[in-house]
Amino acid sequence: MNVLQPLLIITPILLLLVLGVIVFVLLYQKRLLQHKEQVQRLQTTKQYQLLEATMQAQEEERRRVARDLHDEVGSMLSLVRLNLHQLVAGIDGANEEVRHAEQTIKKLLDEVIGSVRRISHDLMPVVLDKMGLAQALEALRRSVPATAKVAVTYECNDKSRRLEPKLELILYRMVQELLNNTLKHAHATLVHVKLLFTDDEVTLHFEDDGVGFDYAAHLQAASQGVGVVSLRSRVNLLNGKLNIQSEAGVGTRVEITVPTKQHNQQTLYQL
Amino acid sequence: MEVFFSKYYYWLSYTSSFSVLVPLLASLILLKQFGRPGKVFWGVFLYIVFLAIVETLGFLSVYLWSGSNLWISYLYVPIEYALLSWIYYMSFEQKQIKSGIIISVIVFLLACIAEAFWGAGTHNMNSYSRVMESTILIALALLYLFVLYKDLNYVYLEQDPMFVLSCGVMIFFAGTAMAYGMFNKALAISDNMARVCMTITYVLNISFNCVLVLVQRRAVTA
Repeated sequence: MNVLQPLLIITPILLLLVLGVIVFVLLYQKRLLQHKEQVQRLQTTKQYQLLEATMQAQEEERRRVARDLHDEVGSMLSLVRLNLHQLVAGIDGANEEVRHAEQTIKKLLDEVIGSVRRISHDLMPVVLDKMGLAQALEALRRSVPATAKVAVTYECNDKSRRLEPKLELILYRMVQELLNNTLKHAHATLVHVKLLFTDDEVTLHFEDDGVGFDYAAHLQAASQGVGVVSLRSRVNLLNGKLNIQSEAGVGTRVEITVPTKQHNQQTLYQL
Repeated sequence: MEVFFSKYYYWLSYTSSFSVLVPLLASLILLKQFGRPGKVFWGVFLYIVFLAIVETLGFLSVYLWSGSNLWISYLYVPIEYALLSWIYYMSFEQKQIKSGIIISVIVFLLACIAEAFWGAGTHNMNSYSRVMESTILIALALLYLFVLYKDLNYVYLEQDPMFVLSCGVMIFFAGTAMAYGMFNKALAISDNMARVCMTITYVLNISFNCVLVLVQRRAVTA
């Protein structure tokens, strides 16, 4: 048996070495993967933080501009209208021509005041703050001018339901973005918006009968449109799902589903 | 020890020989179930078929012709090396490694021929060829692991058929290298000494055939 001693000693050692190598490779590769995942997580968090900061700054700026427009420009225009009225009333024996000019200027001023109010409300919708998303979308539907020649229909399964203010604002901005895109590019005649609340989720359906676009080609394009990217970023920020269906000539359908309870508060920017 | 050799050794020997049927049948079942498998599956399947043919030839040689089947080893080792290195050849993408594999097959073939004609002869085990084969195949398996572990696209290594095959190759050839290396020396002393060497190879052979089933299971869906 002495002849076989090297065999009986070396074979187990070789087998142990091989097993050691296999275990080492497995563990080391797992560690590398964990490291890679951690780096990716950090990068994603950083990107989200950047996006949050950008959106927060954007909202703050909108709020400031809306307040300035409403409180300063709007008030001053009303004051100008009042002064005009007093000026004309103070002129003794003002002729018909002056009266007509006064009426024209007043009409123009009313239009400007109306526009300022509308822009101010678009920038920071008061209804959203006070009445919630369901009512704000109804107000948004009504705000579409008749000159746009688009019939907007809206339905909601629970108009009294309120969500977190930040969540409501992001969803509202998304509908605004979609509606703007439809009005600008789609040449649609009909837009349908549907808001469905469930216990844990809120689903937003947006559909138009416009010219649509080749979504697959749009995704493959090196520079995707800012609108889709912005939508996707916002939906990702809410841990939600975005489904866009569109083809040239058959309109566009967008479905956004987001959880109503945002567990990770980091993903919602502070307003 | 005597009891083992008289009672259990032959059972172990037969079990080892017939164990090749396990991966063979498993491959056929998987082939029927999954339809179109990849290159690794076909490479390993060819290797298993070759193992089955060699086992059959071994039995025929013992019972019908010479009574010894050691001569088969001189054909078996170079072909086995060529088949396994071909599987590795298909798995690597680097041209340098592929060229290295082709050169190693040619060199190894020449070494096997040299041992057959100028070595211990066909009535003895081709120990040098066996040890050389084990060394090169372990090196190939380690090279595969090295290339694989640098590639972080593989999330689950254990799901990769080539990773499982490499583990099996390393365990089998590292375990049997010494046994084959010392076989002739042990046989010169006594049959039982040689049987100790063969016992180790039988146990590892059964394990390796079980590993081949795992390889095929992963290869069929890879």
